[in-house]
Amino acid sequence: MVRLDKAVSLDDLTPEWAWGGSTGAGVRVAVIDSGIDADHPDLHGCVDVDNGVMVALGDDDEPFETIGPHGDSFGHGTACAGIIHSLAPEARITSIKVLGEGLTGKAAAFLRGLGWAVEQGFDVVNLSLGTNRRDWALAFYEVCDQAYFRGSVVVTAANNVTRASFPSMYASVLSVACNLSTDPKRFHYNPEPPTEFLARGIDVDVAWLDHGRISSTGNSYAAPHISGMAALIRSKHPELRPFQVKAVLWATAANVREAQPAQAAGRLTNMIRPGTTSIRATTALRGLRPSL
Amino acid sequence: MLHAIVKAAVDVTAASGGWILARDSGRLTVRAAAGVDIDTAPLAGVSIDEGSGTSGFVIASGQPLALSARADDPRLSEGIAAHLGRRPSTVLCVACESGDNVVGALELIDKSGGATFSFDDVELATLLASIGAVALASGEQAQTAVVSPASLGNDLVRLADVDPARYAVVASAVGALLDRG
Repeated sequence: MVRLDKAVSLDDLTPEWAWGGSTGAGVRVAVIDSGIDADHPDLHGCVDVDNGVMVALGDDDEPFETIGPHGDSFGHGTACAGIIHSLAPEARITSIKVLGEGLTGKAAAFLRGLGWAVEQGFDVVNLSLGTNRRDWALAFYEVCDQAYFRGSVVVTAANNVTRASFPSMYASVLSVACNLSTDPKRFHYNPEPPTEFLARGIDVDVAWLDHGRISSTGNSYAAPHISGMAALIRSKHPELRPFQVKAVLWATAANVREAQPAQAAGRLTNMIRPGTTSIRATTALRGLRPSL
Repeated sequence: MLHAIVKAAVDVTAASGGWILARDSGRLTVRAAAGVDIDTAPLAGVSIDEGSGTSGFVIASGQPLALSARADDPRLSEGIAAHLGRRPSTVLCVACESGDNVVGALELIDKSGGATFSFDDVELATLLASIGAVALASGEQAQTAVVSPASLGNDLVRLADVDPARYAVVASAVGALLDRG
């Protein structure tokens, strides 16, 4: 028997209820990327250096993990970690390095890193990358389902192009693209999946290599904003399952709370996304408002 | 054709220069380059490891990137830009995807006036890179699926529907490509 002894009304799903007072304490976030410069001053020691994992490929092209400290090959992983840390300062972040020397385009390494994160039971997994290799689609589908059933919230950056990108196409993950906001906590719900959320990703000042910062634009910076928000929610409500976290994010999205068409948020890359009519046609959002 | 694509990308994004890279056997090789304020002749045939520079990351991650740093920041000088003896302060790079494969990348540097590349620039470059992917794949006689003209046409129709102004920019660029091609 399943007991639902802490029923929550949709009307309760306000930002204050969802993450008010939360710091991300107790939450573990995995960043699957190019590694993290754990000593970057913006990260304030939030990275679990000793338990970081670097995935490499053996001579037989089979991936294997090496646990321990490692750096960032590009700066992108440090940028994502910095965004998450800025939103959820007490969350612990672990680097799972799948991009770097000798790993370009290796879906096997990417999949192994994601699988490792799921096995370790991370509360939130940030994936600001993807693969368009359809021959790997089923394997990613299965790992993302495992994450969903085990309680890990997987947040992915949506692809900008027509072709499918995995695992951002799956219902078991939270797929994120850019909105036009400069407020890191202002995100939007997109009623035209597979991309379900929009968050800050344009001209974001991010941590980068050499303990510096850089300004950058891309969906890959929108994803860690949602990861940070998910970390706050999971810290305050650790009992929530991934689908419930997604529901809370929907209910607290700016356009849902304010019952405005998502067009006001900006736009999804509607020029190149097949099968959708664009984010502008969202008057139906009013019917989705929690209070109605 | 590839040169026309790069030139169109440079024009529509107001970049100072750009190039399209083909991916082959772990290397990225410049197949075409164009510049407004930059002499890109030294880039002919230049090849780098596919894991290096912004283009290497974009190909590996599948995510486009637009980066902006101070003019004296050396971090955007890696990769192809290093062969120009120039320190770009802004870089935009998108992957050229053909079917299930990433066959190359389109990279643009230094938007005019010191501005940063916008999300519009990312989208425009992405569209042109998809055309470039077709050219790269066909040039290599690769046995890969390419974006069909119907698919590209549908994308343009959709864009015209939702954003006529941006459609006009893209249509102009594609028209220029047809003229040059």
